[in-house]
Amino acid sequence: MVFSSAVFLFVFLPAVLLLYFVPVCFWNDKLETGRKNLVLCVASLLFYAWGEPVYVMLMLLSIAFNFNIGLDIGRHADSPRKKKAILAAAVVFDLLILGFFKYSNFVIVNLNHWFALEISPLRLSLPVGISFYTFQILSYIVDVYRGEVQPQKNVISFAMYVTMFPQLIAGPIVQYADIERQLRSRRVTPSGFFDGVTVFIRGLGKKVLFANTIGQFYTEIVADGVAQAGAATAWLGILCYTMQIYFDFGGYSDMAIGLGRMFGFAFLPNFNFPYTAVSIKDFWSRWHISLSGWFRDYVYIPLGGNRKGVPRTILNLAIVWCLTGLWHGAAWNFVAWGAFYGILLIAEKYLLAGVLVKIPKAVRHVVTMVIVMVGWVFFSCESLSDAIVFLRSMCCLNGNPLWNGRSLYYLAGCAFPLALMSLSAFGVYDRIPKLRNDYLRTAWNALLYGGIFALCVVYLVSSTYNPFLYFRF
Amino acid sequence: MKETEQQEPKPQSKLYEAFCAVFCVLFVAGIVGIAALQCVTPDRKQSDSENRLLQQMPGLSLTSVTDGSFMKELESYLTDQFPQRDLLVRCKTYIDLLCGRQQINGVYIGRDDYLFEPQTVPNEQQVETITAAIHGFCLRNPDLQKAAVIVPNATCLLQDKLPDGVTQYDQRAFLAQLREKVGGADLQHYHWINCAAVLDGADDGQLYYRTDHHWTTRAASRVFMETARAWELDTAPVTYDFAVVSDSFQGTLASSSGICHIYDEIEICVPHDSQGQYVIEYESENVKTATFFDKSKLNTKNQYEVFLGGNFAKLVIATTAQNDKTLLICKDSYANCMIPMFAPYFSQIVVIDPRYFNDSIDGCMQDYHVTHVLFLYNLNTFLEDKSLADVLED
Repeated sequence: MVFSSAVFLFVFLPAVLLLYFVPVCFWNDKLETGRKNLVLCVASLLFYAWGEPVYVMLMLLSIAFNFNIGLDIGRHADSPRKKKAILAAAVVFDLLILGFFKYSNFVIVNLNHWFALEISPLRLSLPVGISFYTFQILSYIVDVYRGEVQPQKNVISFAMYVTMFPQLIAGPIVQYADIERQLRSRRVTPSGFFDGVTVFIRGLGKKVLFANTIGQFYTEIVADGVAQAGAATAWLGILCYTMQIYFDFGGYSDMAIGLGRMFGFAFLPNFNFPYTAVSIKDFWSRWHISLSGWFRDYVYIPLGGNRKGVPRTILNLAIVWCLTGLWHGAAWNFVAWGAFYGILLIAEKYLLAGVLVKIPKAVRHVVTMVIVMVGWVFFSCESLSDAIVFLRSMCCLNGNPLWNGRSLYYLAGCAFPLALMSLSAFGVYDRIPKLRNDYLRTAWNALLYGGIFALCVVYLVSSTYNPFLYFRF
Repeated sequence: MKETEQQEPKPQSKLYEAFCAVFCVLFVAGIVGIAALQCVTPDRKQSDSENRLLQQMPGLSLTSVTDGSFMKELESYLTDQFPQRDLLVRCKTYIDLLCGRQQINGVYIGRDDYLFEPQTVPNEQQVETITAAIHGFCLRNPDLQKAAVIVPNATCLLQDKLPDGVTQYDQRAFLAQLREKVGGADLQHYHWINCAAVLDGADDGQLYYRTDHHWTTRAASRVFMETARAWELDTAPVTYDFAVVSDSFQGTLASSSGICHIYDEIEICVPHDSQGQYVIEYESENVKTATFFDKSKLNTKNQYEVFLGGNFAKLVIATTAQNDKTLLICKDSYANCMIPMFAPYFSQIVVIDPRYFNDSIDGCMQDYHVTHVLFLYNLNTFLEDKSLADVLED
């Protein structure tokens, strides 16, 4: 199920809210929390099964396995060797499942290509959210191993942590340590719930009003043929994609955080105006924060981080960024995208450290945005060769004029939406002074977000308008 | 322990919490209310503006759940049956217009309230097949009078009304190529009617509907006169009456885009005093009428069907013309408004729409002693439709 669907908004969400908030075991707080956890857990499984009626079994298996691993590691807390062996086995098992479903076809295709083999690819579809929930589980067992958290003894609480529907499908990757206490007890106040609703609707608006709208332009431009496009059209196309992916992903994170808050969870922010970054390092401290944080805590630092000399640090960065690329998708263009950032970050750290500070901020911002947009070319294309065709068009290397009538047509169509979106992406709306009076501010927000929600419904319903053109004859 | 856990929100006054609670309840009541409204509004079977059946409540079964079809259909059901769906769709269209969009659901929003369908891009193989089929047919029937009328689309003739930068392929140049491909030098009694030249600079009214992909009756009558000239029909004694039968026409392009503030007039054209002088037989429907126009269609969504009642596999029209000429028309819907104009010159007119007609055309030729053959298509359909080549086959 996705948040921006009628089933979620008008069936699933109201049902879960009612079941969750209408008290049943009101005489006993502990019992009531347990009941709420159970409601969330069952609802989350249903949410997942809605999109993956078969793979939900795989997730249940993963939960059962890792729940026991957590307990096991806890039991051997004082024998480092045993504990390490259990951890290693669990990590290998979890990564194998992820690898099998996500990367086996990629491996097969490459083996076939490089060694002239003829292994037939597997007919697997990728279980939704497996990259996210596997990483959440890994954070849990590693933290239990490190003694940073206690093993979870309640299987419902553990299952709820893994399956929690707000962040199940597209993050943020919530580390177990961050919400351990909230699994036990959490308090929902009307003001907190209201905040959650506004954050959710803001995310819904980003996805439905912004990302989907600007995405249509990107799709149109690509369908027109990037190879034949003028450089201006190609740049406009990737600018549209740049906005689409931010509002799509950022919107999803907002929705997850908002929903979490409605149920009493405080997730950490996942995006912090990434397009205001003034360097690549800055960009990655603002983009998909939970993923870079995960790679930092569970790959980069365990590899030695920057404490083992310059060559080792460079190697560590290279490993982390190739893995980051690969995490986003099983294809070479994603690896190239990760490597692209790895190289830039290494260069920034060692070669340009002295130079960057002397350049004015505005220039650094523009340069960073251009680099990020070039990066999205690798991300958006189906393959590495498509990405190169796209880049050639952007660089005017395909023999087409810089701009033509088509560029102006697209520009006329998307200028206004792009302007609105840029104001949001650059954080201009958030700089508008807030009303000081709590009551006025809340009433204003209710009006504003009520309006945005209504607009989202208009967009969602009309996106299914599907005139059957056979009657043209 | 890691120190990333968030602070509890700072406590607020009870009054403020109660104030917030009101809006929380409003939100939940809102989404529950929409769900309830959806339950009580009766489901619609079909959507007129989309011309398709709407999703009904899907049945729940083990297989429909495991293959995911139940989930997909439930989502379609909710959005298809959403209260006031058509109104919401229109709202979206006008929001798009306000935001400067010039293309909605594939329809270009042009100047002076003109809507345009996108051009069909020629597929080379399809072009080869169809031109070869027409050429072959003409060679096989050297004694017949033949004419090909391929009408360019609004995007070609009304280019100045298109939004800036909508560059499409040049239909004029393409039609010239088509003319070459069908041939002519080796064909006898064959005429290619250059519609673009005939319609260029026409100043007696609109050439195409604003809200529909068809040409107007005025445009059709100009091309008719050119065809009659080519066939040397004596049009001097005949006068034609034009009459506006509707001023509330909103065609396919209005439906597709959701634009609802533009209306077209539908005009019909008939030979003067011709009432009761012909009988139209709808063969497979087993119906006979004495009029070219089905006025009841003016009360339906697709008013263009007023011409001949729509498209049918085969019509046979008998007229009171005193001759033994028979005209066979192979056509798409562009022909519907033009057919009445031919009535005074042929005692019999056979109309075939290859998209619905499954027999061979050669059978018709013999059965009806055809003397004239007209191919009448608009270029988009001509490029999309594979059935014409099929019926022309030997």
